[in-house]
Amino acid sequence: MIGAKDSVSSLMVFILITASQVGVGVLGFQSYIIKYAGHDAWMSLPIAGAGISFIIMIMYAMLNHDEQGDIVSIHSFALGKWIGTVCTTLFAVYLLTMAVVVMRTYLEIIQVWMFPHMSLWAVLLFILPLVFYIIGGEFRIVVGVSFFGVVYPSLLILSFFFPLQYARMSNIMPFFDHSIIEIIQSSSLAILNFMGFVTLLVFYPFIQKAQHSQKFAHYGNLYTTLFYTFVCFISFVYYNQAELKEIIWATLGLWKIIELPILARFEYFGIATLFFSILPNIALYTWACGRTLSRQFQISQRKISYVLLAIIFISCLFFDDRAEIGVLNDLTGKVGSYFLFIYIPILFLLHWIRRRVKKHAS
Amino acid sequence: MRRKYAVILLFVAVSLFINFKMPKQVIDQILMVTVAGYDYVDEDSIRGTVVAPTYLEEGQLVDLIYTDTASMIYENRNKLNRQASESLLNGKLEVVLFNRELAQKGLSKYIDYLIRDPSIGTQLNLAIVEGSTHEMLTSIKAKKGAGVFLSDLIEHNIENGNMPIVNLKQFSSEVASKIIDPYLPIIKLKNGVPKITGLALFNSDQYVDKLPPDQVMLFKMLHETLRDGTYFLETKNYNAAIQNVDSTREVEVMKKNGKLKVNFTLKIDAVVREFTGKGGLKKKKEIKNRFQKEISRKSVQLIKKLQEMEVDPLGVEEIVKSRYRGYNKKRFEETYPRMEIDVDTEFTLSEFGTRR
Amino acid sequence: MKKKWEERKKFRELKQALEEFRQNDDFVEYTFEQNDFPITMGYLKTSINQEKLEKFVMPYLQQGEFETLKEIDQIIPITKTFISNDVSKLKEQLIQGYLVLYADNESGQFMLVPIPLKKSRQISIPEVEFSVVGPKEAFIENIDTNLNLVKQRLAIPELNIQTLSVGTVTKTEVAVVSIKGIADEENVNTAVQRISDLEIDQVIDSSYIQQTIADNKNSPFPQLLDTERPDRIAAVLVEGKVAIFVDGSPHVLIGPTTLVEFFSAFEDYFLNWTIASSFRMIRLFAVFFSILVTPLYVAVLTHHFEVIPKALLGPLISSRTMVPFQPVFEALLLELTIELLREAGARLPAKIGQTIGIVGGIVIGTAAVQAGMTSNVLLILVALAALGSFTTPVYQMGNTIRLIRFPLILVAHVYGMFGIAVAICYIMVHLIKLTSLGRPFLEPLVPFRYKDLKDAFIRLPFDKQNKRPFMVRPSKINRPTKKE
Repeated sequence: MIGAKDSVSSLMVFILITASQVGVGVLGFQSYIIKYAGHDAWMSLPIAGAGISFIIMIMYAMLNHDEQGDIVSIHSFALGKWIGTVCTTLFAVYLLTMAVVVMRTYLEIIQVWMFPHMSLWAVLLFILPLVFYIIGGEFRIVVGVSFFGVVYPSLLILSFFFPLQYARMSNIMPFFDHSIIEIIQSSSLAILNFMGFVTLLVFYPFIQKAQHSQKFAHYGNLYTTLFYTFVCFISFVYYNQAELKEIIWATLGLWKIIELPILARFEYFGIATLFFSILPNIALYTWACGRTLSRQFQISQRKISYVLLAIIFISCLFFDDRAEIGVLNDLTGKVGSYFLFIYIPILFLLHWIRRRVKKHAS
Repeated sequence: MRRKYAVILLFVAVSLFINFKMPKQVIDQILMVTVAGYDYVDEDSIRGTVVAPTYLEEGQLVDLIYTDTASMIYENRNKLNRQASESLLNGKLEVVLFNRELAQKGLSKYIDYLIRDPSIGTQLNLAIVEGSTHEMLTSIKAKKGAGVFLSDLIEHNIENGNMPIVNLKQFSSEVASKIIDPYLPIIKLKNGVPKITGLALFNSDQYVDKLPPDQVMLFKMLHETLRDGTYFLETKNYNAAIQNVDSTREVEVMKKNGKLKVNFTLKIDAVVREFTGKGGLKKKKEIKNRFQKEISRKSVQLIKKLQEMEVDPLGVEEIVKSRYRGYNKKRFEETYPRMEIDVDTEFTLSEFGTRR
Repeated sequence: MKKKWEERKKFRELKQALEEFRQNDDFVEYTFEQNDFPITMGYLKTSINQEKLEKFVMPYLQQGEFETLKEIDQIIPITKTFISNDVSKLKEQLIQGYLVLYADNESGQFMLVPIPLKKSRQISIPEVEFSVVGPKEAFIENIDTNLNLVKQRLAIPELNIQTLSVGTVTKTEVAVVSIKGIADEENVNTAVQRISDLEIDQVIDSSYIQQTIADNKNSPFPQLLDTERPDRIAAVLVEGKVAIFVDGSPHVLIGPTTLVEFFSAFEDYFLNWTIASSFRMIRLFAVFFSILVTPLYVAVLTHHFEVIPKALLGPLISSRTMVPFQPVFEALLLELTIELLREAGARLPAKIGQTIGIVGGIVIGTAAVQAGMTSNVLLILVALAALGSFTTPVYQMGNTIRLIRFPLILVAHVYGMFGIAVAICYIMVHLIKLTSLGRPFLEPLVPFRYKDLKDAFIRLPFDKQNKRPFMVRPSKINRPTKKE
C-alpha cells in the first residue's frame, strides 16, 4: 500500500514527534501554566512529558497490533463502520482546527510585531501554496521540512542564555510552595503544547520497521519535554509571576533583551525565522488530516488537500481578533486533553477487547 | 507539472501585489525618536518632548525637538506628528525621561506604552529629571545626539560602578512584582550640562526620595554584584583610593526570638591605587580594618534610611519570600521598618600598587 | 538467376548513392584501372585522414595483388573494415570519414575502410576548476581521449563503459561509465535509460544531456555535477557514482550528486583535511552571505529599522540621504549593474573583458555613489555578494545562486524578514523535493544520514572516509583496505 520510496526510516519518528510538538505553543505557554502551580509550574512540564510518554506507549500498543496501523482502521475495527467513520471525521476536523490555530496565531504575531497593516488574505496566498507544495508530494517531503523544523529551533536554544543575566533565582523559590495536586493541575494545562504528537496515529504506517520505532518516539518526546522545561525555567527566573500573568508571548519577551553587535533586536529575527518550525506544524497537521480523510472516504489526497487549504484560508480570515483566537486555542486544548487521556485509553480497551473476541472466534 | 508551478507563482505574485502598498518604514523617510521626556503640567495633562535625529552626510546629525502637551502619551505623539515632517517612530527609543513631579504621581500609566509597544526594546534606559525635561533636552548639544549621549551617560555609569543596573526590563518588572521597590537614576541640568545627581527611590511606582551620589556605590554593593568600583577612604592621617572594587553579596534570613533577622554579607576584593600619608604597605592591615568597619557602618545607615522611608529597593521582602515559607505579605510590611538588618564585610586587599 | 537480378539491383542503388555524393564538391573518386581487379575508391575529402589514406591504403591498392574485396580486406592494415551491400549504411559511414571501395563487376558489394579525420586540441590545464596542487590535466572535446584520460587512472577490468548514440541528426557518441561491483546497477540503468529515451535531434555538448535527463527540468538548480578534471571523475567513480561522457564536450557529468557536492572544490581533497574543511565552510558561508545579504539589506532598511544597532544607524542613514529611491530599487539597480558587467565581461574577448571589469567596477561604482544613485554601504554589500557567488566551484551553480537573489529582494521589499524566511522555505522545499538520478538531492540532511556527513560540510581525513557515500547506494559500502 505504501511504497518503499514513500516510507521513512524509524529514526525520523524522533524528528516527526519533536517537530509536531514544538510550535506556536512554545511562544506563550508560560503565562497559562502558572494558573494553578504559580512559580512551581515549571515542574509540571516533566510531569506532562511523562504523561505523554504513557499515551505514546498506549498508542504503540494499539498500532502495533492493528492490521494497517492507523487511526482509520483502528476506528473501523474497534467501533464498527458507522461510528468509526464519525469518529475518524471528528479526528480529522480536530487536526484541521489545530492547523488553523497554528497558522492564525503565527500570523497574529506577525501582525502585532511587524506588519499591522498587512492584508491577511494576501499573506495566506503567500504561505498556503507552500503548504500545498509540501503536502502535494510524498510523505518524505513533510519529514524533510520537519527535519529543518527541529534542527533550527535547537540552535535557538543558545539565544535563551542571554536573558540569564537578568535572572532572579528568587522568582522560583521556594520550591514546592504548591501542592503536588496543583502541580499536576498545571501539567494538565502544559500538555496542550505537546498535542501535535497525535499525528503519530496517522503517519505510523509510513515508518520502516514501525514496531521498533517506539523508543525514537519516546526520545523525541523527551527532547521536547527538556526543551519546554528549559524555556519555562528561563522565563520563570527572568519574569516574576505578576509579569507572567500580564504578558502574552513570554518567549518573545525573552528575546527582546538580546542585543548583538550586528542585530540590536533579536526578536524580529527570531519571529521571522520561527517560520521554519511553524511550517512543519501546519504541513504535518494538514497532511495528516488529508491522509485520514482520503483513507476513510477513498478520495485522492491531492483533491482533499485543495479543499483543506481552502478551509484553512477561509477560517483564518474568519478569526480576526485576539480573543477569538484565544477561545479557539482553549477549545482545541480542552478537546485535545479529553481526547488524549479519556478517549485514547477507551479506544485502546475497545480495540483490545475486539481483538480478543476475534481471536476466540477464529 | 508546469501548470502547478504557474498557479503557485500566480498566487505568490498576487500576494506580493496586494501587499506591495503596505506602509513601509524606510529608514531615511522616518524620524526615529531616541529620547522622550515627559513633564508634569497639571492633573490631566503632561508635556511631552521628543528628540529625533536627522542624519546629514559624513556622520553628522542634527537633533530635531518637538514638544506639546496632552493627556496621554499617544495623544501627545499624535500632536507631535503634526509638527514633524516625517512620521515619528518609537523603534530606536534609547532613553525616556520623567520629571520629578510626574514621578511623584506614579509612573505606571506612563511606562505602560513602553512595555506594550512591541517595537520598543527592553534595554531602554529610564531616568528621573530634577527640573524640566524639556529644558534638559533642548540644552544637550552633543555631537552624537541627545539619545546616544544620555544612554551612554547612564550605561557607562552602570558599568563603572556608580549606578546599579537599571533599564526598562528591571524597572517594569520591579513595579509589577509588588515586593521589590524600583529605583532610577536622577539627572539634573547643572550649568547647562546634564549630570547624574543620585538615585531616585520609589515606593511601587511613586517617587519617594533620592540617595546622594556617594551612597549609590554602597547601594550597588548591597543590591548586586559589583565589578570595578571605586571607593575613597579618608582619615585624619592618610587618604587611600581603593579601586577595582569587586564585591558580591550574600543574604541570610534567620529567625531570632520569633522575629526575622536579615544579614547581608559583602565579600569585597580591591586594590589600592593612590595613597597619601605615611606608612604605605605597613598600613595595609589598618586600611583593611578601617574599610571593613566603614563599609559596614555606612551600609547599616543606608539600610536604616531605606527602612525609615518604608521602601525596599534591596529586595529584602523578595529574599524573605523566597527563603522563608511562613511569609505573609501584610505581616512583613508591618515589621519591615523595625526589622533587624545587619551587614558584615569581608575585605581582601589583594594589591598595593608598585610602591611599598 | 534471381540472385543475379538482386545483385544488379543493389549495384544500381550503389551507383545512385554515389551519384548523389558526386554533387558534393569534396567527393573524390579514383579508379585503379591498371589492376587485374579494377577497383574504384571514393571518399569525402574533408572527412578522411589524408595521411592514413596515403600510408595505409593507396600503396596496397596500387600493387593490385588481389582479386576480391575480401582479399583487400586482408591486406589493408586497418581494422574495423567491413564488406556490405547495404547502401543506407554506406551513406552514413561515408560522412563519418570512411572510404568506400567497390568493383565495377556489378556484384553490389562494397567495402568500407575507416580512416576518419579526428582533429582535436592538445590536452591543457583545467581553466574552470583550476587548482594549484594536484594534476593539471583537463578533458578535451574528443571522447576517446577523455575516456583514455580516465582509464589511465583506473586501469581495471571492472571499468564499465556503455556507449550510446544520441541525437536523431547529430548521432553523438555518449558513454556512461561506472565501475562494476561498486556502482549501483540501478543508477547506471537510470542514466542509460534516460539517455536512450531522449527524443532530441542534436547533442552538441554535455550540458544538453544535463538539461534533458534532469529529474526536474524546471528547476533552476543543476542536478548533475559537471567537471573538466579527469582526476575528479576517477575519484567519484571509485565512490560508486556514474559519469556521463559526451563526444565534443570537455565537460563530463557526474550523477547522482548532492547539493553540498556543488560547493566542494576538488582541491579540497589535495589539502589537509582541517584546511580543506575550513575552506569548504568559508565557501558555504559565502553562498549564504551572497544569497541573503542584499535581501536582508532591503528588508531591514524598508521594514525593520529597529534591528539596526545604534552605532550603525548613523552611517547607514547618512549614506542614503542622497538616494532618491526606495532600498529595493536601489538594490535591484546595483544587482543588475553587476549582472551587466558580468555578462559583458563574459561575452567579450578576455583582454577587453578585464578592462570592462575595471571600468565597471571602479568607475561606475564610484560615480553611482557620487551621483546619489546608490548608497556606498549597499555598493560594498553587493560587491561582496557577487564575490561570494563566484566562490562556488561549479559555474552552473554560481549562476543559480546569483539569480535566486532577485525574487528574494522583491519578497523582502514586501514582507521584510518574514518574507525572506518564507521564500527560503520555498527554496528549501524545492530542494527537498529535488532528486538527482532518482536519489535525494539534499542528502545527507534530508534524508538524514550522519555517516554521509563525513564529506559534506566538512571533509574528514581519509582514514575516516573508509565508507563510500550511502547516497549512491554503492554495491560495496566499505572501501577496500589491506586487511581484507
